[in-house]
Amino acid sequence: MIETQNLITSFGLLKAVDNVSLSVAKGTITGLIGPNGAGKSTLFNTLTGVIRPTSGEIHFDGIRTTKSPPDVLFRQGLAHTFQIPRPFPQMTVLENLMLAPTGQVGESLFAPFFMMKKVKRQEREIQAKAMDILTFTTLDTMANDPAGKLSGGQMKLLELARVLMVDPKVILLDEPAAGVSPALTEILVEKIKDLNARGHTFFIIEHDMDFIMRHCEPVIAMVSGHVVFEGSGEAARSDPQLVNAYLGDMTYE
Amino acid sequence: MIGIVSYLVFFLTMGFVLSIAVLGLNLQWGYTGLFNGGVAAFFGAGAYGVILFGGSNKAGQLIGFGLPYPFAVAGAVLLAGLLAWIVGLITTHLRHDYLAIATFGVAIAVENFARNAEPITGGAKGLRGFERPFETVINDPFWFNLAYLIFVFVVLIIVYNILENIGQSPFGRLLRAIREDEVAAQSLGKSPARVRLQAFIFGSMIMGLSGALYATFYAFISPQDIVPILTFQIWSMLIVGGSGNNKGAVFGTLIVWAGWVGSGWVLTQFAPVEMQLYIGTIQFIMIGLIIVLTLLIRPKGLLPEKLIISRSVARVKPE
Repeated sequence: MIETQNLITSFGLLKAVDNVSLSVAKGTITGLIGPNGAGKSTLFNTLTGVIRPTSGEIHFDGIRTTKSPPDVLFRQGLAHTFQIPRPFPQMTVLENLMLAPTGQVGESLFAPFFMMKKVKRQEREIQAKAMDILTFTTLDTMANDPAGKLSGGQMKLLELARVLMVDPKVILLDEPAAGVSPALTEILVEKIKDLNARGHTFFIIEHDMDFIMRHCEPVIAMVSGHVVFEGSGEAARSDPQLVNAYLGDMTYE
Repeated sequence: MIGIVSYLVFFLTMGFVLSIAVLGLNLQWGYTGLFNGGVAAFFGAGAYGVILFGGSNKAGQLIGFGLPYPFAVAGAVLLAGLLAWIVGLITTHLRHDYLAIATFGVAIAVENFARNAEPITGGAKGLRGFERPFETVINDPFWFNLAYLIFVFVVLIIVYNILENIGQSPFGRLLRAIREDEVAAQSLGKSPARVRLQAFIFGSMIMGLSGALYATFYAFISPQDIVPILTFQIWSMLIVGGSGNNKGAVFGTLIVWAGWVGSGWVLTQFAPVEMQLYIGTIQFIMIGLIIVLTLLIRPKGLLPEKLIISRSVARVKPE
């Protein structure tokens, strides 16, 4: 679904992503591991169009997307969540979700006056879908609360719920389990697996090796901007060089 | 008695005219988070526009189309929109304080243009001699002013309803999302630059409408009417009332306007003679004080923004 060729993203002299060629296969839950500063988040930001690559190519779903901005990529089916959640804090949880669908007729200045009927019908559909997804992500009781009042873990669920409003082909999650209570992590994992079974591809950055080994297949490892390992979780775990040399600070327990 | 009533008519007319400008600012700042520091420019474009389009051609002046009043107002509003479109395109990458500085600069430029482009704007003397619609028909200043008050009130109601509709529509939701977090909105497939430009233009057109009604009321406009303090007066009205809330915008306007007029009256009556010269300055200080005090004591204004749920949607009851 996602392929990169010789992708480089530099900040001045620093090549945060250095000559990365990788591919994320359709239907997988691909894990991305690596120590702090390895370039994982920069890679994600490059793939999602937040940062323009310095050189190299990105293809998403067979289309060249090297220079596409985030909004275009989202409309093509590439969704992502943020390492630090970014809800719309002074909007209700329900409204956070209702914003997400693309192609809303009501999202123009004149629609409220000239296409009221159509807008209302679409709003009803969107609301029904939003309530389904809120139930699915266990946030339904908070539908009318301002999103800024949610806990950090609930905000991560909210971000997942938001992107689910559009049935994205690929969802990139940046550390979905970091700072989330074990109970919420369980819910999150369950939802990810459930969605994966329905055909959504996931690409996940995670520091928690246990999380990666148990739930992701295959695994990609990055160090200093390079991809140093691509393969099954089993192989990554039994690769002593990889574990000791690069990932010593987060050895699998 | 008639003196008090006619003063009340004047007070309310100006209050409603200013309310319209504050509603325009509320669309930009309250809904979308756009820091427009040049309200006076768009207000001024509308004020000059209505007289230029609707006034009669005079010797020594380039413009003065003598258009019927509705067309003159439409032209004034479009002129404000055109200015906003140009400014919006130039400042599309500016955020927050940088946008404020840039738009403030635009307002200074517009004021200086008005002051110096004598063939078009009449220069420092301004433009006078505008024939107001129905003035000859009603032919009595008191009844004319009363009729004009009703007209302005109707326009205010219409503008208010349009903005309430926008606020509760999916477009309003989009504006608030961009205000709250532009990056997150873009990650959800929205194009913030386009939407911000739309809100900026539409809000500025409403300010232009307000300016047009202002100039119509006085049948006169001069650079003195569009000095930078106007921008801050309008900001203080929105901040006091509660940005993000249209009712608050109107409420805040009337309160600050009453304070402005009231303080002017009190000062002229009771201030010592040697202070009389500085009444305007004292009022300027008050505007600054009102903004600072509101931000300190009640940062969300007298009527804070409410959580809005799209009108077309039934409110969900938690179980």
